[in-house]
Amino acid sequence: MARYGMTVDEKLCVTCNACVIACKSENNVPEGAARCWTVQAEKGTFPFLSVETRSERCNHCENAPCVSACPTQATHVEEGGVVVVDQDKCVGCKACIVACPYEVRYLHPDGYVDKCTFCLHRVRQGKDPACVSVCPTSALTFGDLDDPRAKIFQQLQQRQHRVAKPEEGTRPKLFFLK
Amino acid sequence: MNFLDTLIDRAALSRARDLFRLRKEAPPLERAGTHALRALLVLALVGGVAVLVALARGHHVMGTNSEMPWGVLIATYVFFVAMTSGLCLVSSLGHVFGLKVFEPIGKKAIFMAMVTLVVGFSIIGSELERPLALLKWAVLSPNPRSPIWWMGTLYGLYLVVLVAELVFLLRDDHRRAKVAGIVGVVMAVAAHTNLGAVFALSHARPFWADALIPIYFLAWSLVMGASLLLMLVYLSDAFATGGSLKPESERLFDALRKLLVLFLSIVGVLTVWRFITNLGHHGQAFEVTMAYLTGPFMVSFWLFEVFLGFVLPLVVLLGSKRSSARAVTLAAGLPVLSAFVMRMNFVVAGQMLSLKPVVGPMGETMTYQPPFKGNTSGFLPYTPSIVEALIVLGAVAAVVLLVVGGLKTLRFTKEVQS
Repeated sequence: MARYGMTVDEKLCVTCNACVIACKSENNVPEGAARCWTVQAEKGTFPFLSVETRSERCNHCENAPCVSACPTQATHVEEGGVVVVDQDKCVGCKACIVACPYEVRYLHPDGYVDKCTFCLHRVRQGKDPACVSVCPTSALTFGDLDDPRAKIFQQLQQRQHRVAKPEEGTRPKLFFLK
Repeated sequence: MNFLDTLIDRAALSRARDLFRLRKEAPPLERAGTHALRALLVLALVGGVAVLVALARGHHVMGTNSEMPWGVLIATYVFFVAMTSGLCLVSSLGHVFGLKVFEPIGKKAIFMAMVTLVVGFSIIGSELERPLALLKWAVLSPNPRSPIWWMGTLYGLYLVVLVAELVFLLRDDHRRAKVAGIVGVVMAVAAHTNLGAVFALSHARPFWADALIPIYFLAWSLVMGASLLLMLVYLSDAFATGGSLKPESERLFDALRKLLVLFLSIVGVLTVWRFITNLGHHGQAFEVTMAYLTGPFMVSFWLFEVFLGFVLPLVVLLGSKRSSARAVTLAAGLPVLSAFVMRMNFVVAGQMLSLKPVVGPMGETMTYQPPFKGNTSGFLPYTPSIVEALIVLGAVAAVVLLVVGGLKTLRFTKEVQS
């Protein structure tokens, strides 16, 4: 059983937003909402300044608070540990939006909650998620965290990395390479 | 006499329209009451239309958004179902635990509990994007780990228990009423503390994620139960006698006053320790607590939640030797107003700090590309939309109308039937 995850190489990301646009067109994300976005963060004080750049999306947590919060199992864990929302079962109570420490979810104009699916429909066809395919600097890597032959496995073996808000105990599967 | 006739006074039901008919020769108090009921009817109808608009258009007509997903409707829902539990628990002292002094209000309290629960359900129904889908999938695809699933299940069952309890009480079937009453007490505590847990289990929102919240909710619901029943006792006497308490109600009135003193003291102690322990936390819980103590919530916290919420009522209720029944009733009404403000503040405060890192105190700045609109540093704003406001006003009006109507038409006292 695969355990899907993604790495974001902060050294390679140039925040061109190609991932954001690719995601929007691949998944028909409505105006004013996003399943994936980029961050430019200036750090430090003059003259010791640096800029952090990265692309963010759902962390597909192994211990996902949104899955516990959902009253109808609309938010559930699919193959490979991917957290997805079943649009039919979603009642729009927004408990998952409240429960998510990362604010990766939004209310779709059609009345259900939506977020990143790691493009599971593409992954099932053997393709990478849209954001990964389109990234011009190959800053994004998708793969099976348990497969020693996978690039993502080797990256996490060799490079320093972090996850968002580890103190939440959610065990995210989106890793930021330093 | 058929089953319905044992519950409802049909003659009174057919006269229900008279409630809204202005009699020229009526005393001023009654005329004012008629005007008030007419205004409430209009408000309730407008609220009903607002509910339909909300059901049809969903979040498009709400003031909430993806960063502030819960708003005034959640607060109002919690407000009304807190009344349900409180009314049920306080009145159970009479018909479940056998304290004779509380027995006269048992039926009316259970009826009011039912009304507030039904109105609460209508509010949460208009807040949900797809309320009917919840009815379906809560049964077909339940998630027992979800406090919201438990909320729907417990309150749903609770309504059934309340209806049964009311029917048994109205038919003077005391043995069954007691059994239903015991189940009702358990459900009242379970449902309302679980509602506290909906917030307390939101680990991502540190201001809510506090083990005291379920207890805090329960304490507030007891305050509301005692206070509503005290107001009911005084007001129904006052309308009958032209402004004073009947001698036979004095013991009950005094017992409710004492209970209210106890419950208000508990709320006071819990409030003090909730806020002091939050001050010892780091990060969001501390920031939000400071927003209460000295920030944007300062006035509504100190004035409504603290001063009018329990300090002033306690002073008036404890000094009741010198306070008239009218003053005691007024003081008992204040916490109900505060309970609404408290819930409104609580719901908004838990969400008002964006979970995304923004400008840090050390000058660390972060610029977010597309994601959500209005993602600025500091506190996220929330203003209820017109539709949300009308639903809240309509709900208050509907509760008053249904209670008044029910008191007039249900057989709370058994007259001899020929």
